[in-house]
Amino acid sequence: MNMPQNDHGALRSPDKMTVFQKCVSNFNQSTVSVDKARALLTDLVHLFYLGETFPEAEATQLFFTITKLFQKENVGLKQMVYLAIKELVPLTDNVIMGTSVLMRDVQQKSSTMDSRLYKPMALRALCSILDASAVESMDRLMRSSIVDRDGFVSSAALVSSYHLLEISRETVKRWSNEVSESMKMPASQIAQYHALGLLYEMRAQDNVALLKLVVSLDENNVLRDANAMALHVRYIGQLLTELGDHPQLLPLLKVYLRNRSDIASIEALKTILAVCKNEEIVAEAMSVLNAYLESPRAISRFAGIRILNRYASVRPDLIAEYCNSSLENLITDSNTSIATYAISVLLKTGSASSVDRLIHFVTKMLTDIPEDFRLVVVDAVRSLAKRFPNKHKDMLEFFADSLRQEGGLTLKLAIVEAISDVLGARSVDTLSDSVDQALLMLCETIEDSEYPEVTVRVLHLLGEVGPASSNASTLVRFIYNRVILENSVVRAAAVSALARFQDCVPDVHNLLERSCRDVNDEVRDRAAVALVIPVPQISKAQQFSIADLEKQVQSYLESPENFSSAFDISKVAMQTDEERQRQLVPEALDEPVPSAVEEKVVVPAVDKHELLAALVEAVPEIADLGELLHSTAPSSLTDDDMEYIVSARLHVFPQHLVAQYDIRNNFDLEISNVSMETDLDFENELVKQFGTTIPTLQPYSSDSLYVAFTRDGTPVGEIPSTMRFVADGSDEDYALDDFEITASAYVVPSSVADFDAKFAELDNEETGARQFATCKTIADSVSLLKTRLGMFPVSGTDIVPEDANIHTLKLFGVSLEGDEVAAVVRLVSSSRGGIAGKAKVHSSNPDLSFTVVEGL
Amino acid sequence: MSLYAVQAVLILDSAGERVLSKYYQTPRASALATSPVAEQRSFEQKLAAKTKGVNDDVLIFDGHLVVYKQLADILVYIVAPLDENEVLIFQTLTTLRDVIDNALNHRVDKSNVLDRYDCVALAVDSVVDNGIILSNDSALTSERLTRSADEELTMPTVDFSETGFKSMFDFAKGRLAQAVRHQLV
Repeated sequence: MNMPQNDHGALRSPDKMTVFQKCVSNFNQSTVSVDKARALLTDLVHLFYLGETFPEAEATQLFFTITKLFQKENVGLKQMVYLAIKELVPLTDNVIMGTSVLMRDVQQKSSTMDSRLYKPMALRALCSILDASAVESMDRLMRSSIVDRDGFVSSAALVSSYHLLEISRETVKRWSNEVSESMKMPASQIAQYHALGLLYEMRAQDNVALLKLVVSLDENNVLRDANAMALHVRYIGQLLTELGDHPQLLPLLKVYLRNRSDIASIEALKTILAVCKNEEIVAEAMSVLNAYLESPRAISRFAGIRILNRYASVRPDLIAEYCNSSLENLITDSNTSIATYAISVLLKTGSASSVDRLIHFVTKMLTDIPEDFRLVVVDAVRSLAKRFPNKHKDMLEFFADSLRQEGGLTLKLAIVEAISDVLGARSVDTLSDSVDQALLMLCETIEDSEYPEVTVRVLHLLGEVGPASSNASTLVRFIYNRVILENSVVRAAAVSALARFQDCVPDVHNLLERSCRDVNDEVRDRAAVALVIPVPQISKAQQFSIADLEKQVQSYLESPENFSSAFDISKVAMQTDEERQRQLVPEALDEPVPSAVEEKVVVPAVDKHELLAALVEAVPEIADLGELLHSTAPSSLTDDDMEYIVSARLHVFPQHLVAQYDIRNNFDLEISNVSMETDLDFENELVKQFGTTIPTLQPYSSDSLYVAFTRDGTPVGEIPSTMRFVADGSDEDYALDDFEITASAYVVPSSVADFDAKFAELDNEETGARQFATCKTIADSVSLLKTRLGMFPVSGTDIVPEDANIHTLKLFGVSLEGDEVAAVVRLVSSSRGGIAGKAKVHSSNPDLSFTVVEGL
Repeated sequence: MSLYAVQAVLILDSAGERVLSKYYQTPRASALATSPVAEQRSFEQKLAAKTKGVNDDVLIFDGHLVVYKQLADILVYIVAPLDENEVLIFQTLTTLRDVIDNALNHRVDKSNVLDRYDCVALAVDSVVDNGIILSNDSALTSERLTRSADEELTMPTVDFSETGFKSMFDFAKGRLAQAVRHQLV
């Protein structure tokens, strides 16, 4: 630690090692004088109060040598000993040994004057070293100390009990009779405050008990101490918030308004204006509040104006009515905090007629006030701007002035947000001169901004508002300067901003092309994307529905056939700002959404509930199978040019599988009574339960039929399927390719943040090898594996370089039961043709590893 | 709701250097309570720079409610959570100021504080106990503090048999004055 460097401090600050050695050597001698001992302890405490600390071994040694001083019956020494002990307690674990010596001091009879001087301090020191079991053994001592007639002893016991709540709440709760007694008949005024605070903690979980306590305090006029009254007011406020209006509580509060103590009355004001809706009481509160604004004591004016500032946006009308003249006086208060709050209140409550004057006034004084209050003023003007959008010209000038001045990051960001508010208001004409000026001023800001955060925010704002401005090409020049001069974070933001100008400034295209060669990949990506995908012109009031966008993108990505045409964003549902706000509100109340995508399961494109509903409509019996866990993608069981085209998919239920066969009649003949013959070889793992039939299937039409199986575990393998139907009056069989159940039935693709770590973490390894005879290239085998295993290719390992002979595919998925599974597949293209694969599968569940390897 | 109304008691010199600083580790502690000393000192120096020579009594500083008094060449601060009762905290500062003032025989300055650090440390401890306001009566509290190890005890005894009527009258007068003071708080 640095000791104070000035002469005075350097001379007086004790040296740590010297103090330690002197304490240890002197306290161990019984001959040390009490004077000397107190002086040494003072140096020790001085060190602690300067922020110095000792390692545990030294702290323990100090603690034990100090306990030797207990042999000396000297009050002046004892008081310093307790102080030193309290400082040593957090530094060592061995303090509990000091209990007995401290106990002796606490148990001294109070009759001697000496003991009255040290007993309360000894009690506080003692309680600071107790652990939970020791608290139990102190039961009798604490009870008697709480009701001690010496106010200092009683307070020491009550305050210490309060600290002990952290250590042993249950034991402390047992003392509630004594605490209650000392609250009703306190040994000193402040003891009542301590007793009431402790009593509240004992009942805080029980609103009924709390209500009883709060009401009883008034009936007999128990409270004498102003601090205790302030607590009482807070408790009333809490109950009013939780129980709603209660007939007994509001009148209690009202009485406190006119309490002779400022402490109680200020607290009542805070509470009433925060919770009370009763006009009469609020009006009375406002007149009391106004008296505080005119108080000669700065602290009372300060307390009053803070309350007003909080209340200003709730009831500007009342404030104008009761407090306006006092407020105008406070603007010039000698206390800058009070003056600034006064301005803030006036800004929040100002009428259209006074806005100009106010803005003019604050612009002038802004340079003179400290930064944290500039923030208050900026926020106030921002809320004023929301209320008076037609005054945006003055507001923008004000913000521009504030932005030019020196200021910290928080302040600058607040100003930019405020400007963004004003420019974003729909009533503002983006072609007006004042907006142009504001935009140019923002450009100046990023020219010499010391905070990249501010630059990025301003660039985004320029991108949003700038394209509509008449100065668009000037803005582009400023923005492009950032691309040339700044770090990659700012460059990326600048590129995104530039992209918005593509339609109005033709040269932007060239600028973006240059950024495609940037050294930073994020900048390159943004530039490249901007060149290919034009920024959709969406009005501010309308935005894409995020949920629908996600759903549509997922269904687009689901099958590669879609990739022949671009994703059509116009099909995505739109929603207004208001709708989105409404959706956001309940989420905001919930637990924070975990931000990591680590274990997020990729939701199937079609909502499971919808799908299940469709299934149940087709086959009512499916309703009895329970929750639909998962559905696989369809796979074809015929070639595309046959008379009958059949594809099949699997729906997985807790104890069942339902195979859905989609059949298209591609032949000029009506068929009827279509059913599916499944020739199972699964023993008991899979047993057919029922199948449906299609009564008639017209030429060139499609329909589905279903076969349900009970499953035991996670069977994988083939279902040889034969279609049976009647055509032209005769029974026909039509053999299909085997319908394969693979691991994808039980595993959902999922992404993982750190695959290698995850792979190492999961055990239960299974290995397997397989020849992919049907695959010509490694890429073929990769796409085959993806669908067969139902797992997600991690970190782009599904992209295979064209000339690669060897490739490693990493896959990750989560089973329907929530078990994670990770697979590493080494693929080798052999010279004899065909691909060989060797897989290592790790999973949290051994059966799952096995299923996945089986499904290879 | 909590009794933990005080987050820190600070005594700084006019350069913002620590004379005494005590951050309390309580359930409502300021983040500073567990910060490295360097961070605490930077907070203290900024606070001193902001308050030195400005007798405003109170300000909101860095997310804290701070009340302070300048006594000659030192500044005494109490740091509290933002939602604490301003007047209550200020009253506590007044009590603390008076107890220190009594302990140093009404001659409070940096030199005396350092000379009689034991008295100042005991004064702080007697007004705030680990974040809880322990006392709001400076006169009674001062009576309980020793000023050195060998001093004669100053506490008035309630033994009227030998000291006669005058001392009994003085004692009663003192008590009455205290009672009146309490009513005015």
